[in-house]
Amino acid sequence: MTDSKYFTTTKKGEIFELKAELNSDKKEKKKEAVKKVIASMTVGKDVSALFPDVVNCMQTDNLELKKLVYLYLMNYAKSQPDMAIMAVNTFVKDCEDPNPLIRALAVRTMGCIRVDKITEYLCEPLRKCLKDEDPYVRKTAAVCVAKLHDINAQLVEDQGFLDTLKDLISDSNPMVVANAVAALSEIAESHPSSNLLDLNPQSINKLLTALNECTEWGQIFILDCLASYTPKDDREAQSICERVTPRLSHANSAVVLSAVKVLMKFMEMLSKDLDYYGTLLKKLAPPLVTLLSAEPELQYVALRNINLIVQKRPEILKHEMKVFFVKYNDPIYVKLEKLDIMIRLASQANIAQVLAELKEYATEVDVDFVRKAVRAIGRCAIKVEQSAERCVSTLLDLIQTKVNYVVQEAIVVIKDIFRKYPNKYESVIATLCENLDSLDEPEARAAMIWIVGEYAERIDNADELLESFLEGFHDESTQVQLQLLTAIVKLFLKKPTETQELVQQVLSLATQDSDNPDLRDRGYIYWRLLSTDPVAAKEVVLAEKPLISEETDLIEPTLLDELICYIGTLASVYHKPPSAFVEGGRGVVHKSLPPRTASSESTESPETAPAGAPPGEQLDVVPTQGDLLGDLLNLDLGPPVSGPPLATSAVQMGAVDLLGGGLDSLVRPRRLDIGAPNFVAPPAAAVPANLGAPMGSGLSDLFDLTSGVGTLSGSYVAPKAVWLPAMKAKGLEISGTFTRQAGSISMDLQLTNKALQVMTDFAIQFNRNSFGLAPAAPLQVHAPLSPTQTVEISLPLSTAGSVMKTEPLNNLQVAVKNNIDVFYFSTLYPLHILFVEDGKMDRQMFLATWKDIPNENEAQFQIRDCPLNAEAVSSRLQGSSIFTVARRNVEGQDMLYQSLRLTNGIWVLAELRIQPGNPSFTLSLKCRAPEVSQHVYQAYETILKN
Amino acid sequence: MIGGLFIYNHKGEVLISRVYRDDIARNAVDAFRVNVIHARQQVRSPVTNIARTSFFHVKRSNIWLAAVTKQNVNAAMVFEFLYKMCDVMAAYFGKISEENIKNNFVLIYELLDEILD
Repeated sequence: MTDSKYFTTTKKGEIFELKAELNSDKKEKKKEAVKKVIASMTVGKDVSALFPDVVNCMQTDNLELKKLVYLYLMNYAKSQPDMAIMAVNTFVKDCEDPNPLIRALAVRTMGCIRVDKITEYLCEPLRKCLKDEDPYVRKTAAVCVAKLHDINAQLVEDQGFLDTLKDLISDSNPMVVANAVAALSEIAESHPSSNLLDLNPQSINKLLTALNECTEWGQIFILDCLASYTPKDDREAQSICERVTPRLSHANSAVVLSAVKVLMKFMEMLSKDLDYYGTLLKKLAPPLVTLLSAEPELQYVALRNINLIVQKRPEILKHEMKVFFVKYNDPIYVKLEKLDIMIRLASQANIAQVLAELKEYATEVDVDFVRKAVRAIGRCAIKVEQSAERCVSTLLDLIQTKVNYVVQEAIVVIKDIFRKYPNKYESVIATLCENLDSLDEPEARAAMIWIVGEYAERIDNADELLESFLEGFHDESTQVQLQLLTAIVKLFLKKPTETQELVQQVLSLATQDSDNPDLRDRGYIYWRLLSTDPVAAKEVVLAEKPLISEETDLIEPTLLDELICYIGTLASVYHKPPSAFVEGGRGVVHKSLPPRTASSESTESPETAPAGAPPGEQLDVVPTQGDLLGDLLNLDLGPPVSGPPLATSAVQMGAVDLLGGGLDSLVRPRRLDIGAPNFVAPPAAAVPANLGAPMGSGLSDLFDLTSGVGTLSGSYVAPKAVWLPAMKAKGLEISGTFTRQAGSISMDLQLTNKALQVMTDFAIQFNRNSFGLAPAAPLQVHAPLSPTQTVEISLPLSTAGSVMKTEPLNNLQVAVKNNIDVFYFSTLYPLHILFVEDGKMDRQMFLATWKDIPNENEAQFQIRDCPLNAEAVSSRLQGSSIFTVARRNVEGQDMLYQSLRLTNGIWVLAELRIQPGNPSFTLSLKCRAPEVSQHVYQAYETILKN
Repeated sequence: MIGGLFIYNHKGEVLISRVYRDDIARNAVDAFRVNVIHARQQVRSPVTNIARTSFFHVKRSNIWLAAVTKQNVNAAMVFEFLYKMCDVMAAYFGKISEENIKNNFVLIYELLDEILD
């Protein structure tokens, strides 16, 4: 029996005929009719008019017919939502069918019917199916949850399906686990904020176990899911790597690539000295090579990924050059990608082989491929200095072939070779000049003109050559016009006597007869230069040019790191972040490689991020707000000066309100006058509502995560944390910390250039903040910051800046400017940098003050898990200018009475209760500005626990 | 995963079409036909992005299999899937040709139902 007859076009009245057949009594006829309907549907005919008739066929015990009807339903339910409800009953019934295949079919189809009204009826059957005894039904139901979430996320959450789905991760059947993971990943992707896949060592363990048992598709989902996990330290990373490594030998390329992704990502956390690191590197090469024997489409995906891997870790494939040699029957897209990788892998060791290959490719038929091959030869010359000579002679051979596009391409790359090795290969210029007439592409013409201009003094007939181009000046492209203008000016400066006429001609062509503003501008500049000071003109125009760097098409390091996290996916094929081609909020979460966190005390190279927490959690880049902007306007005027001039800017905004309230005490330095009873008690309203609540905010987390130990002299210094990730600041990464030493506060910054261009003109500015912190000197970066370079700067701070209460109190909004852009970020400073060195209060005064401050200003905190005894506590706190005024022993408990003073004159009094043997301390703080208590407590925590 | 799967003959007529997601409209079918199958130049990549929609295609004799998506899916997996799809179809009805596909379209839909949710 053949089905193709259903595709034959029937005449008009077809729908009517079908309707009759659908309502026929004979089962066979019905089935035939439904098939016809589906066939018309496939070719794009609208058969929705038959909806009721087809739905009528639904109640049948014939599985094939049922499937067809369901297929029809999926397609047309959306256009006929009211009719679709008629089908609900059958679905519900089918979900209880004794045959698991039918149960699964029903639940699958229901997920595909994207009609709001139906989804409500779906919930009950779905709940049953999620707990079905048959794994096939359970796995289908798991996928259905993801589908339903896409239609109505709220409903899925309200019904608790997400929890059920999470439970399925522990299912006994690996197929169910894999599908549950797939469904959860899918849901998590559309809701990046939800912590749905809360991966922890236990769940990771479950996934790793399931990995060995499930199908190849399940393995891909599990591996992709693993790749989004960040292990807590290098040991965990290593153990996961060990269990993932066997997947590298899988026959399915997608499994291999996903495994490579997990390994590449976690490798970032392993120390390079580790034996295991080397072993892993060795293990990665063979599977990548094997990928190249897969089908061409997969080879293409693999090659695009290998391109990334080679840029990230060139050592993996450095000995595998041969596998990237092009085969004659490779499709063109594979050839081009292989060529790209060959250039990246080219080194002194293999250059001879590579050149021989490239020369071969240059004689192929495909124009694009040949061009790329010629260009590759030039790139090799620039990359491997020893081979430059051989490359140039190869290029000359190719020019002799006189094949038009080969010659042009060769000239373009020879220009680059000249720029890399000036005054070395000029002997070839004669050969190049012979081919002048055959050049018809702008890029080649421009390159040739550049060469003539650059070496004008060695080319006898340079003026003639350039003059010949000048004839058709207006027909040339802008690129050629600009180059011609410059070349003639160069020529004039080198041989002024013979070429005066020529230069005048080109200047007038460029400035008077051209509509192109770039060309006119350049013409005027040259004209002015030449007419005012020919010597200066010579210095400018004939200045020594910087050598070109060897790799110009590298992907920016930050983008590369992000793409490594997307190995195997479309992003890695396009070499673009997903946000560039995915619409809406789906999948646009930025991924980044994990920072290296060592469990042992191995010292790391300085470029690895020192903070343990994944970047992006502790900081938020400040959105441009009105008042910040106002302050930032100053940035362009010059480096900020110390002192309080910022307040003069007109943007005062709502600050007045804030300052007028209970914050007087904070803002104005107040001398402590114990006897005088004229204190203005801060209004109760100003007491933050969360006072005394256990604090779980960023600061202590931040410090807990870091394992470094601060210097003991001076107050405690937190390790540097990343404040501004490179991704958010066009390649500039800023990490830093605050220090206080001998009474002066400074901000220790580490600036890293992760972009490909040099950064200069740094300046920094703070927004107004609670304690008037401001830079006391301009940000001085002495030399331009070249790519990958890092510089450490200590920026002295003063507290004389203008004051505005921030939320939270210790929030500091910073703007940093460089030659590229202005970037904003905010950070929290630890309050103890504001504790002054003369903050010890007299005993009597302490007592009086303590009594004087109203009780509602007292706040109590618990400091947990601090193993120190009273003496150690006291001396450590003193290091950070928290002074013990008195010490008493009450009923076996040590009571420390302490005082400290902030830079703005606020006194904080403390009572610290320590019970020997109990690691939890009770801290009572009294202060006239109770909003600082919370932060003082955080400072205690920080100092005592580090 | 993918948003839809289409099978075309060499003329660019759709033989099988299965759409899994709302974000893939029917005009995606035409976009692929116009830009890839009927493109004058030789296609330079098995992955094509047309108006923010990505098409993965493999060609068996003169039949085109195209998977469509708007998301950042696992590209390697999609190709592996398309190959497996070809293998399975070949196992059921022999050579992948226009005639065989038309003859077995119901079977193909059933297969798709089982291998892809």
